[in-house]
Amino acid sequence: MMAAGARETVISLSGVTKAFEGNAGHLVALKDIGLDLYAGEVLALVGPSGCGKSTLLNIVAGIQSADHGTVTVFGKTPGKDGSTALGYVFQEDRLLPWRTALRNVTFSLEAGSVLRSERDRRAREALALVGLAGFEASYPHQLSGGMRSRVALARSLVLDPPVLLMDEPFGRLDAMTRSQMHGELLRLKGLFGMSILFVTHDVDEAVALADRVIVLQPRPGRISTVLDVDLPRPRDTAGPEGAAVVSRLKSLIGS
Amino acid sequence: MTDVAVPPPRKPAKGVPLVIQRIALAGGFLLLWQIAASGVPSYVFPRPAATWAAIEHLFTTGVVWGHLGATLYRIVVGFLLAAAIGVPIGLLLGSSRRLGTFFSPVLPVMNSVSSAIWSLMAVVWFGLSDATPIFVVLTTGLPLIITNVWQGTKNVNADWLELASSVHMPKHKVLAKVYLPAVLPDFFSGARLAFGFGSRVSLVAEALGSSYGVGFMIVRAADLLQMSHVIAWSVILIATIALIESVVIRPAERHLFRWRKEAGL
Ligand SMILES: Nc1ncnc2c1ncn2[C@@H]1O[C@H](COP(=O)(O)OP(=O)(O)OP(=O)(O)O)[C@@H](O)[C@H]1O
Ligand SMILES: [Mg+2]
Repeated sequence: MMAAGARETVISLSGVTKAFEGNAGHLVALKDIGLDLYAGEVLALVGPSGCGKSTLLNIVAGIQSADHGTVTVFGKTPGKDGSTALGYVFQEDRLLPWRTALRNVTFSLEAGSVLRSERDRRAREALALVGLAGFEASYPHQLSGGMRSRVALARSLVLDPPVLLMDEPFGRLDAMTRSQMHGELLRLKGLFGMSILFVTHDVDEAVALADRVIVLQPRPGRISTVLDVDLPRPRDTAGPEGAAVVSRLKSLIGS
Repeated sequence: MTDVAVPPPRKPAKGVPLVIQRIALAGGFLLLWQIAASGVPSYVFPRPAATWAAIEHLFTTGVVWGHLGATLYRIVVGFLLAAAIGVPIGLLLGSSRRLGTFFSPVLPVMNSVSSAIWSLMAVVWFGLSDATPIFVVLTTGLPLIITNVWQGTKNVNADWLELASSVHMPKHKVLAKVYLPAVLPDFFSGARLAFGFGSRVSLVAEALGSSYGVGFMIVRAADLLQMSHVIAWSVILIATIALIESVVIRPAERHLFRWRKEAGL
């Protein structure tokens, strides 16, 4: 179905296993995960709570390391010198409460050596892209949940990242705002052309956004199914074709 | 002091206004003082009026400025040194478990060394110079600031550190941009303590090892049995410290913590 061989692989995982020694004892969060993310692709990871989705993104971002297996991002091991910083939209917005919206966005750029004026310019641009022009000087507690999610998105976009990791970024938004954000995300993807690894436990959201869906199963977290979504865009998950894919996916997860 | 608290909003009609309460408190205090001092010679315990006269004298002759200035200079320099050294140390100890565990016994020990001991050591090492009281203010304030900043690092959210590492922020920038702002409220509690203790111990140090400054003047007045001057100098220094609190430290806090959500008063 997909001409995978013709496409450049940007992220590649094989045999990735990760266990935690927690209060609940030895817990295998991920077991033998192998997946590739292709350039320009939107890949959705779906699965129930606790199946290791966030852990997987953390490993790709270099925040955690795998116990076994190999992870490469643009041919390099994440977290090591010379690895590329990816855009990571966390499950929570993780805004720094003492920084304004603008300063939260510039935070990403402050890691490097971008000049302050340039940082500000790019951060303003990123905030405008997510529809928050005019809110640069607001503190996080002065913003709504949806606006905070947008600031977090802008904080990743400002890096102009080749890959965007998104962990249920719209999980706490109402259905209307969420589908609006889906539209905006796809618009931004059209502008920047980045690849997206998108985590969700919402099947409709996965079908609305993804070119490919990977289904994870919990305890231990492992891949159960990979499904291509060949629907034309813009998509309507409530329409007959969309609904068919959604129910197929739901039955795959249920089994 | 000017930190007049907002009166409880619920029942404004009930109770005496705070200003009146404060005036009553001050009046009662002066009255007690007056009673306690009556019938006692002034060189043992002067009355409020005599003390006021001494304060006036110190100001009209201009004697106050040089000594007060010298003492404040020593307090402020000692305090700033304590902050400049204590903040990075507190951040380092708090951000590295290994360093924290290794050095954890040092602070209680430092904290329990009497300022009189520091003063005597400082006199031996630095003689009758500015360095003596500065050193004592520094050694008193340093463990307070380190302890509070260290404690504050426990409020640093691991999520923020992950965020920083996701954008590949180097460690020194993480300290400056995540740890430092997060510990600022605790730094201020430490700084208040350090400043308060520092201003008190500076007197001890000046009394033992200085030929100038408020502490020195207090000892000299005591030697001359000028008790009114002893109290006058004390009052002047206390008032000055309170003034600095309310015109420097409080506004600084208000500015730095303007991002905080107003807790519903
Ligand atoms: N630091 C940790 N220490 C111990 N156990 C952990 C740790 N992080 C994750 N786990 C465990 O690993 C499993 C996977 O966690 P993870 O956060 O990746 O799940 P998730 O798929 O993102 O869930 P959700 O959809 O609820 O966000 C869970 O059972 C969790 O308890
Ligand atoms: Mg998660």
